[in-house]
Amino acid sequence: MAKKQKSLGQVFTNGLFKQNPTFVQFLGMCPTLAVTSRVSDALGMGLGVIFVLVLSNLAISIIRNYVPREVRIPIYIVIIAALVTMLEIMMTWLLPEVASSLGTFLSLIVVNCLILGRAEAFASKNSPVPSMLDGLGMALGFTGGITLIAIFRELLGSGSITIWGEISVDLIPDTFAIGVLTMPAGAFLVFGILVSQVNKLRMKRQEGNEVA
Amino acid sequence: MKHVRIVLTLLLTVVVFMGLVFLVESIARPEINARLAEEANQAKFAVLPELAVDFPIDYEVGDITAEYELEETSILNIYNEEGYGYIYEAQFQGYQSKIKYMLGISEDGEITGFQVLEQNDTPGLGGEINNSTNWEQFVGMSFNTALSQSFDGLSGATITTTAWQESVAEVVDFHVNTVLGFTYTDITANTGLSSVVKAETMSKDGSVLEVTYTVQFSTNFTSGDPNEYVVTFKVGEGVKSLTFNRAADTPEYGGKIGEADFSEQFTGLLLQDAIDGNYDGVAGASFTTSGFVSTFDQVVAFHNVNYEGAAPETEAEKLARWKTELSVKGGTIVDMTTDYDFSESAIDSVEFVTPDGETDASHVIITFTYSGFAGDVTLMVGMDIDTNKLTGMRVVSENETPDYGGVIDEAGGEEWLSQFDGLPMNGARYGVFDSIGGASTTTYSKLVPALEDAMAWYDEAINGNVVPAPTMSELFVQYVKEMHPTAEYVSDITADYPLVDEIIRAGIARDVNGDILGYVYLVEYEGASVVTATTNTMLISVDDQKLFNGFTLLESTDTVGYIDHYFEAEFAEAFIGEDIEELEYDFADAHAGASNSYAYIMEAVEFAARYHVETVLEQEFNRPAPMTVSNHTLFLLPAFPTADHFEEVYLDYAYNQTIANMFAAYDETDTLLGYVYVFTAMGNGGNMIFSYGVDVAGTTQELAVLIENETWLNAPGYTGGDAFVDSTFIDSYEGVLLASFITADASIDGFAGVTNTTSAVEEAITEVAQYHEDNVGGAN
Repeated sequence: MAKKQKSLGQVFTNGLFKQNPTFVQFLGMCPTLAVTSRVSDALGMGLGVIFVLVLSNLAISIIRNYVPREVRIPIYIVIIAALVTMLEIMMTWLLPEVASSLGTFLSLIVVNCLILGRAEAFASKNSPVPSMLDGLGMALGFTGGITLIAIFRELLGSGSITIWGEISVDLIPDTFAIGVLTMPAGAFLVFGILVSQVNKLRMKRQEGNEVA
Repeated sequence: MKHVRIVLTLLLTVVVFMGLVFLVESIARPEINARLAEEANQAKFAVLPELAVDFPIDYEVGDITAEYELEETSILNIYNEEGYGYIYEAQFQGYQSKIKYMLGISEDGEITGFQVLEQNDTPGLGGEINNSTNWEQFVGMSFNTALSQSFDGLSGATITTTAWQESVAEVVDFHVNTVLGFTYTDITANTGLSSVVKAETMSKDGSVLEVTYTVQFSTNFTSGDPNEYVVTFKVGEGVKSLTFNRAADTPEYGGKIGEADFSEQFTGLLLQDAIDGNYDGVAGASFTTSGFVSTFDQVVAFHNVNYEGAAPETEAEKLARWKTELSVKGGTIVDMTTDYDFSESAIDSVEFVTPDGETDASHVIITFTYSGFAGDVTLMVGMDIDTNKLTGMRVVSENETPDYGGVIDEAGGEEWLSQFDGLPMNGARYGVFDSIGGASTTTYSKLVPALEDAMAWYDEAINGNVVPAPTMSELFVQYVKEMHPTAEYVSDITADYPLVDEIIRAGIARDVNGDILGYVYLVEYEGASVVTATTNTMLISVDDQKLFNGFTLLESTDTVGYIDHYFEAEFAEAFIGEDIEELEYDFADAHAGASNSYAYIMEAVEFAARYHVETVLEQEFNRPAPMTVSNHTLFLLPAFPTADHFEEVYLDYAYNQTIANMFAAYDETDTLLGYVYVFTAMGNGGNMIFSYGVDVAGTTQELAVLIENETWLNAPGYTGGDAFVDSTFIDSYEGVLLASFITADASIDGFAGVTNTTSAVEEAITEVAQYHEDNVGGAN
């Protein structure tokens, strides 16, 4: 079957909704569950993923024709690792609080299957500009997904959302907070509920498309 | 070709991207380090807040890291600002990452703060070390808490917590020992004071700066743990501080010594004031105060000599101090020894003490010497002239066995010596005080007579009571009464019997009813001798059943260490109840290695036993039991037909080989009629047994033949016609004066042909007659 040639715009929005890495593709689950206890952490992680994904897609796309198939994975990993290292250094320099609150999960971006997955699935077969846009779209979709989870977890789990030292929202008094949401079990709960709602939306839209 | 391409592309990728990383690194790293340094400086100000008072935030605190050898430690850097304190930058391995921190210590010796610089541990567990709430406990934390690793850790993060505690302890230890250069040395064993349970010096660069003593003294009115206080002296100044750990006496009285009011007066107390006692006691608690003062004085004296360079007390000073103590107030001491004749006495010197401002002497100090277990023992006692009581005793010199007699001079003997404080004169004189177990020679048997001597002199010289010296008899009576405390009457029977060298004294102790409690013998017998001859002096008591009921080894010149065991109660008790005629030498009872000494003691005991039985009781020593005569009617009545009943009395009289048993014959009214002798004679046909009656007038009754195996009728040459039992030979012994047979008399007709038998019987009856004369006395 011939591949539909997507427009650049479609490439970008693909990652936001239709192929959202978090709720549809289920890619990058470990950081999802770990950093979504706080919104600021989620945003920080998202920022890092954007940086790495965009640049890795770009780099891999550029060299895609020169890399022998047999060694493509190791080479992708070298590139991704180098980028993550650079990210770490720059974050420690410019955004030290974010770096220290993410801790080891910053380094773990290297093994985030989202990045390697997109590199293999898109960047290795497409030209640089679409690859970049795909990376950007995916990363933003990822960021949006984990931020959404984090909003629910932090707001309902501890009563307020604090982003980088400034209290943004103070909704529920402490005594009514649902403590389990700040714990790993709570992460699964919120994630599961959100996935079900997203799927419901997708089903509806599919039906709508079919009908139309 | 493909392979080359693979390798090449891989290599290229790696080189290019690593290059990029290094590029970024080189730009960013200095910026990061600058920021970290700034944070670290901020941390320094955070952990040592005093700095913030006087210095701006970007002030560079002096780095003294280079002055120390930090290779073996977890310390990375040390910063110091004179007058403010020290900051330690150290690092330790947590669970998941290295944790770097700063610790501030003020010049006063307190921890001022803690801050984590870098960590990457498990969030929620070890990572919590980054939570500033965990740092608050460090403000004002003492060295002790840090060194004992007992501050709060992180819940659920045991490995990180342990490593954290160890690291902080290491830093504080380094600070104390290396940076400050303080070394702590335990000198508890060197003080030689029993009241000091712990002593420690704090020195720097070899010179002692402070000494801390932990002292105990017993409570007076409560039982349980003693009072305990800790006093620290600053060398060259005086007392730095004094605190009571435990004031266990009555809360309203002695217990008050634990209050701040009392201990505060010692803060900064000059040494001379401590020596002079310029501090207040506790009102209404004189016992507790004096208990404290006596231990405090000891500690101050020790400290003064050992750390303040005071010259140790000379022997003369010590004796002078004792004389002051024993005379309570001290004063003018006048030696009056030459006024008296002490040539026969144990007393070495007598000194009269007159308090300042008074005319009459208040106390006498008597110094006397006696020969103890291993040598001379010289003691000093103080006598209060008004009350005739001892004020105390001191040991001037002794050479006794350490831990035994030597105890009186050691820490453990203080309690024994204290029994002389306030002891009445007569109590000391008559030995009313305890000895020290295992050292009875030093502390009792030799001391008693010496002390008695001293007291006798005192009584005579001060009170004018002349007491004649007890004679050996009186001493003996004393000994007997000691052995038989319930004795009411003691009669000295030594002169009643033939004198024997070894038996110095013999006596009978009777109770209030006149019943004999025991025969007591004072025996002086030779002891074991290797180089020189030795003597054992002992007291042996025998009851009226010839069983031992007392033994004491009083004195011995036998070898120290060998003879000791025989002074013990355990050895003496083994005799009680034993039959004196069945003395067994059981070398298992002898003390290991001292069987020679044992043998000589047993020989002496046997000698006394023999003396008792043979000389005093006039019986055969170890005599066999009398022959049993079960049927008196069958065997005794024929000899004394007029008697009603008989009683065996042989044991009351001496033993005679010929006489098998002896009975007293009584009529119905229990009047003594006479005696019946059961005797033996060896006839021709074998052993013959007779019973022979004699009345109280000495007239023989009948001679009954109980057992015989004679064959007179068959005897060749025998012309009489009767058998032995029926013969007139027997008849000739009846109804005549027994005494007439004392000399073998020809008035008894013999019989031709049976002379064996007749002469045997004659001889036997002669024996009986003589025995009857000697023991019963012929006509009663």
